[in-house]
This record gives sequence, C-alpha cells and structure tokens, in this order.
Amino acid sequence: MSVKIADKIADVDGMPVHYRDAGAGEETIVFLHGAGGAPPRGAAFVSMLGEKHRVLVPSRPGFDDTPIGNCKSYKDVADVMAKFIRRVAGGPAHIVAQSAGSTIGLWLAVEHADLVRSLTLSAPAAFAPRPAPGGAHAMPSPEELARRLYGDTPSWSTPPTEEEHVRTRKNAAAYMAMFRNEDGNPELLARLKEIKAPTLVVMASADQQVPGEAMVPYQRAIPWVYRMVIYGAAHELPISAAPRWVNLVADFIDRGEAFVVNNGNLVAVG
Amino acid sequence: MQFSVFNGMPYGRTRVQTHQWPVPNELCEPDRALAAVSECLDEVQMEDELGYDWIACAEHHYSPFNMAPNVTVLASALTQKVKRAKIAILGALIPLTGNPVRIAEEYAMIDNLSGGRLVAGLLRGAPYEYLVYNVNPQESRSRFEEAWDLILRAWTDHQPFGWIGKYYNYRNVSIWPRPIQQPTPPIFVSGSSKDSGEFAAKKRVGLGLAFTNMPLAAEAAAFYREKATEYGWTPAPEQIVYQLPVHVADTDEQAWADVKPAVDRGATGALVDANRLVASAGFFRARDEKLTRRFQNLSADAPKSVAEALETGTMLAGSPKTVIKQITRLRQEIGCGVLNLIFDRSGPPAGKIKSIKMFAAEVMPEVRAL
Repeated sequence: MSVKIADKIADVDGMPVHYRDAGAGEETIVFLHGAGGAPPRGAAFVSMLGEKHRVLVPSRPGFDDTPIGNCKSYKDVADVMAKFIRRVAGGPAHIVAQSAGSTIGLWLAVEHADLVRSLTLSAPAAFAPRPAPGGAHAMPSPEELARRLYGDTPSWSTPPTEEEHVRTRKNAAAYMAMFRNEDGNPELLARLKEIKAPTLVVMASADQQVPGEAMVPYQRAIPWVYRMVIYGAAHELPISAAPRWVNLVADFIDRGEAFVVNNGNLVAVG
Repeated sequence: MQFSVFNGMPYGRTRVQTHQWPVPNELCEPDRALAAVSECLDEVQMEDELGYDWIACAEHHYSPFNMAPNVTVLASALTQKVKRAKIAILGALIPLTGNPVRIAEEYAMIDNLSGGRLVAGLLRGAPYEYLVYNVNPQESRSRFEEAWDLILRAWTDHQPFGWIGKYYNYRNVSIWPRPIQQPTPPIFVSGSSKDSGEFAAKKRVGLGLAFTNMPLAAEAAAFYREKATEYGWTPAPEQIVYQLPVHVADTDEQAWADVKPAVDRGATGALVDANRLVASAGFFRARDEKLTRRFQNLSADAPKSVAEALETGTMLAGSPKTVIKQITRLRQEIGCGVLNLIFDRSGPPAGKIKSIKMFAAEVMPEVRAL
C-alpha cells in the first residue's frame, strides 16, 4: 500500500511548526525526532507506520525550518508540542520519541498527561551521559557516523541526500549548543514517577550512542513500563531495524499492555 | 595446572558392538543404563575426593558414549555428589536448544545448587550434533552469537526486558535465581575454529579445545592469544582447556597395550559420516576451510598407532612418569592451564578406576606447579 506523505506547516500561537503528515487511521502517532532533526525523507518507517495509523512528524522548535521562538528549555519545547498536538491531531495521541526526542516525550507525559495515550521511548537519550561543555570531542567521519547511527542494513526507500546529511549535522550541532546546560535532566528524573501513560522503552543492542546503563531510570521510576531489546540494531532504531521496530511499536499502540501476550503474530521462540 | 575429569555418564559397551549413529536405542538396556547412572555418580564423588579441580560434563545425543542430552539435568545431579570441585558444563549446545533463556535459567540454577561452582561452557558442538534437532548448520554461528548476547543479558541485566532478535523472541525475561558468581560464572567457548577463537578473545572468555590434536590446538591457542592481545588483554593459562583421553598404568608397556585396541579402532562408522555431511553443508565458514576438510575425513586424520597418538598429543598414556612428561609437553606447546581428561575411551573398563586414582596420586602433584 502506498502511503502519502505531505509537508505541512501548522500555526501554533504564531509559530510556524513544519511537519510531515502521513497515512491515516483511528489512532494518531506523533513521532518526536532525535538531535539530527526530522528523519531523512527516504526513511521507510514513516510509510510503514502510516499503513494503519496517521503519523505526524513535527520538526521541533530550533530544528529544520521551525524557528526556536521563545523556547528556552525542554519544557518550553514540550509546551509547544502540546499545542501542536491539540491543533493538528485534535486530541490525545501516541507519542513515539527517538533518542533526544525522548526528553520532550517525557515532559509531555509529565506536564500534558491528557494528551499522551501511550509513550514509546526509542533509544532514549534523556539520561545519557553527554560530552562536557567545552570538551574536545573527536567527530567521526560522515561514513562512520552513518554506520553508528543506522547500522549495516538500514531501511531506506531512498538513501539520504548530501543535503540531508548536512542538515542532520547542523541540527545536531545547534541542539547541543541550545540545550547543553540541561545535561542530566534532574527535574525530569524526579518527576518520572508521575507518568501515567503506558510506556515502552526500546533499546538497540548495538547502540554506540546511548549506553545500556542510561536505560535504568525509566524502569526504576515510571510506574507502567516495559523494555524491549532489538538485537543487532544501531541507535537510530526506526531506520536500523525498521521492520522489527515498526511491528513492535504498532503492536504496543494497538494492543496496549496485552502486547506482552503472543497473539499468534509473534515469532515463536526458536 | 588444573585437572578436570570429563564424565558424561557413559553407558559402557553395548551388547552388540556398533558403529552406527544414531545408535538404535533397542541396545539401551534399562538395567545397564541404571547401573551407568550409579557408576557415574559414585565416580564423580570419588574424583572430587581425590582432588580433581573440575568435574565436567557435556551435551551429546543419540549414543551410549554420553547419556546427557540435557546436560544441566546431569549437572544438577553432580551438584549433590561433588562437594568441592567445580561443576564444568562443557557445555550445552546453544544453537540447538531453541530457548537460550532456558539455558540461562538452568545454568543459574546449577550455580546456585553448587554454591557458586559452575564453569559455564557455551558451545556450538561438533558438526554431527546438527543432525539432531533439525537446525541448519549454516545458521549455527549466527544463532550462537545471538543466543550468547541473550544469555549474557539474562544473567547481567537486572531489570525485566524483552528481546526481538533474528531467531529468538521474548516479551519478558527476568530470570530467578540469577547466578551466585557475579557478574557471571567463568565462561568458556569451544575454540578450534578461527571464528570461535576470535569470538572468545573479543568477549574475553576462556577457550576449550576438544576433538583435535596438539599441533592444531597449539595453533588455535596461539591465534586466540594473538587476537586477545589485539582486543587488549592477556588470557591466563587457566583460560585454555585442552581435552583428551588418558590412561595411566604401572608401566608404559602395560598402558600402551591397554589403549591399543581403542587406537586400532580409529575413527570409523556413521559418526564420521555424520560429521562429513554437516561439515560439507557449511558448518564452518570460509576462514576455517581447513577444519571443513578435516571433518570431511576424520578417519584419515585419526592416529594409526599408539606412538602416533602420543606424538600428536591426542592421548595421554603410560606410567605416571611418562604421563608427567606428556603433560609438560602439552603445557609447553599449547599453553593450556586446564586438562579435561577422559578416562572412559582409551583403556579397558577394568583399569579405569585404577587409572583415575593413579593419576590423582602420582601425576597431579608433580605437574601442579607447571
């Protein structure tokens, strides 16, 4: 089935929020991208998720063509995203947050619980150690960075263009500059216990960006949480392991807590 | 130097000698099988009391030489008889099981039942084992590597998790009990192939060498050490285990006469054919072409005389004094710090217990310090 993906702009209290709108279905998924900004256009997972659901992929304030506006903190960004969800989704949605997007997803779940039907944290980086401000960091080559992020068998409808690679690096650099002071997210950590939405943490077994230890706080603090490991996947799970990641996320969204039960569609052990 | 006794609960001689594999179980007489159970459990208790360092067992299928298709069941019984030595499972055949979490659970139970004395072998097995549970031999390596990651995570990740893999899928894993030894029991993998040797070096675990000979084992151990250096560490001698049959008698002449029938039988029969079939189907990958050729014709590679068996280090046999020299040579050539000794497959059954006792009393003390 072919899924249409449209580029749109929403007016959120005067701020133009650029987003992609894909697929259709009773449930709406809001995908919160990582530090590199909106995923490359050829990332197959958006269409795959859009086969049964409506998928919104907003570029958050400060990323891609969405201006930073008056946002000074993650919480400010989450407030803008809440308004975006009310305006574009028209009500509660399933939040799927990738990597650095997890911080915003978590703030949404804490501050705007009425808008979050479920929360999926994919390779979440909210509590990952970050480079010290002013430290010297060896930047990998573009090829090495792509391998670290997407692994050896990424799912692209069409591979990213050079322009997209440049945009991703620019987004990541701008992100680090904007929010460096919030490393550690202590206030958010203290409020995880308030989250009411069923939460799924998905981690990649071959993640070279976020260490496994950084997954510990979610299970310790969030009341209703499951964690799944996708074997062999790299950090950008939706691209590195698209079929398995999409099946899992869609199953969690469709079946809620019953996703732990084998309904005949799960591959049997062995 | 440490010494392990391999005890796979052998049935002993069948009433009709056969070279078939699988061996028809019409030859498995319940009274004899029951006696084999008693003998095994009595022997491991004796071996423990004699001061052997490890009591080892392993998973093998469909034949009387080793009646432990589920090796953790046997290991569980050993924990109740062996009070001092380590219980070495060398090992479960991970790609065959279909359920790595069950292996993680059972090994953790054995570690608990033994008070933290488990040595955890996580193996792929010899090629012929892949005729047992219908697993594609070409998938052996990739199944093993995924199962490895899953078992290690089940032991060391202390929050519940689910797993979405290529071969294995679970929505919930949180094993109880977890191993006594933290973070994991000492782990060994089989390492005759380059793939396995590099894997062991990369994962910083021990290497087990079996169904091989001294020159090949020395080559494999050197490769493992070289790769370990590349990965930034140096294995201790105790992290290299070499397995071979042993027979000790009062004199060299007696010992060599005792083992001659077994050597003369050589490697023949359907087991050799089974190994050939599976090796030819791609059990070893391209970098281990030499091993593929070897398993395609094990008969040709088997020693043709006792002298050749001793020269190639595929067997220890002789008086205590001679066996001490043979062990010294193995240590020098392979650098192994543990010998996994098989007392069942060389000398006559009547001489087995004497051989086990002589080895413990007259050989072990002399080579401990090697």
